[in-house]
Amino acid sequence: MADVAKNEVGARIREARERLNMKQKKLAKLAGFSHHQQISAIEQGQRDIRANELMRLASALHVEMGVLLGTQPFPDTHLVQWRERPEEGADESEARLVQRAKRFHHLLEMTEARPQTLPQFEIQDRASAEAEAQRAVDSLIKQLDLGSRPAASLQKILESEFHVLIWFEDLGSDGSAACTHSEHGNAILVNSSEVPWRRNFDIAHELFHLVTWNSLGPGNPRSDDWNQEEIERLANTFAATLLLPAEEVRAELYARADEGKIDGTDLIGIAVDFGVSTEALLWRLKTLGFLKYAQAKELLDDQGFRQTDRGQRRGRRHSPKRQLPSTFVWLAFLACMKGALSRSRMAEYLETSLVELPLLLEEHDISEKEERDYQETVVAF
Amino acid sequence: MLFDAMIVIDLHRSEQWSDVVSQLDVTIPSVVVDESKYEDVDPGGFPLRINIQEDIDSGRVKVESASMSELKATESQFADWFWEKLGAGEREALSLMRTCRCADVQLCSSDGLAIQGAVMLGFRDRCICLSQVLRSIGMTISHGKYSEDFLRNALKVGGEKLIRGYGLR
Repeated sequence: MADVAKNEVGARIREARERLNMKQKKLAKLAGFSHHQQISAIEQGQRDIRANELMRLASALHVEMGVLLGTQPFPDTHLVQWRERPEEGADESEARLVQRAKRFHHLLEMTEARPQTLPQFEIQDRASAEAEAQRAVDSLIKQLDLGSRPAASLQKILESEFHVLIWFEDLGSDGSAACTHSEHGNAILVNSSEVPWRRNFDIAHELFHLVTWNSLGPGNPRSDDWNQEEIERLANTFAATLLLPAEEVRAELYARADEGKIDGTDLIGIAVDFGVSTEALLWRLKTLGFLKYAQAKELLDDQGFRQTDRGQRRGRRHSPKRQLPSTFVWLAFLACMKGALSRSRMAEYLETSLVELPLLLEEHDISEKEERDYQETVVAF
Repeated sequence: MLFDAMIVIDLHRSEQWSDVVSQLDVTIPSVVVDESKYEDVDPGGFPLRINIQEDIDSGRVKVESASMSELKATESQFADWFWEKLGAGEREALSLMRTCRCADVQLCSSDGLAIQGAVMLGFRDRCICLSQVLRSIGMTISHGKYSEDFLRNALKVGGEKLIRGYGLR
């Protein structure tokens, strides 16, 4: 019997693919088809689609199966703001980020978790923008309770207290970071191939976009009056101020100074200690009045200083420990424990196979004991 | 017998798979063929190889695939929030249960939500637990989620949802 939905599903597969600017050849490869002509035939409604093929296509296109079946609308991926959009794969990264944010929203509903709301700060106009950004930092430092070395705790606090999910993905050499803010919540995407101190800065930078989304986010009329470069500069100032609190930096400088002077090695040490790049520290010191522009520039142009910087950071260039945010994994597990999410759906959410699911849970400190407890809980639901 | 992916995986882990498929009529939803495929070291530390395609090719296992219309029609029976909880294999299994070609198969699932879904579609009498299945061929498995208690609870919760229309459209 001919499947009446075949044409409609084929058309939606084509639309989903085109939204990602993905070639049929790539989709065929990602979804395990031997030839791109099979995709062509599916899109034209000339070939039956098996349920397992639909699942693989949905996974490759970063949409739920319902989107391809026409029972759910296409997700809005226009709400992603990039710092530096990579030339390749940005559409896919956006779709993945939006799908993950949506799934996280479902998890919050299923587990009835109530995260704290991330505040919104109004940036009125250019004249007061820097002062308003400073006020936002002061307020956030208090609210987030980041401690004396904010870079060390920022990611964890954003994820666990405010449920701002931070995802790491290899965005190549030209991609930096992105974020999204919608009714599904907040999410940040960071380039996993960046060094840790740059990733810290990226997170703080994207945080600025999230807390000013209502006034400077994409699609907001006010953001049209701004040059994107101005917004990015403001986000950089915000990030430097957040990660390098004036009092803490001052105290560290005085502690390391010898007769009122501090050498380059100590400056690098301070940057490492605060989890930021030396460049970020030097510009912050300039803002705080400890360095003149020319001094900062001279140090940054000094090859010997650069070499010492690289040397002091040797062995610290580690990749992110985990690809998935722990809060996401724990909520998925909790939803499953509560009987609100099937185990195979949990594996889909966590982007792993059913066989390998226990390994992924273990990476996030969910032990076999908890697994056993889970099974007993489910038996007793 | 319509098996879910966890059952396929655990029967391979316990090395009971071959005995089961040689003695019973086993049907696998197409998604489960993908979901259970594995060839590496099991997280438990033992080599594990699952490829049902070979059993399908040899005729020992039957694979069924739900059509797009069947998937859509089944989804239309459930509230969005309930459907969202189910994995692709479970969605396909429920869709297959509604078709003539699978009118005689029984759902053998380790997931409470899939069993609830079957009950909500009116298939209470077509759900069975793995312990019962294995007992019929003189085998056993010890795992809470495969027990009769587990099945009974899932049938009860599904029945309550059916009566209240909770989770249904």
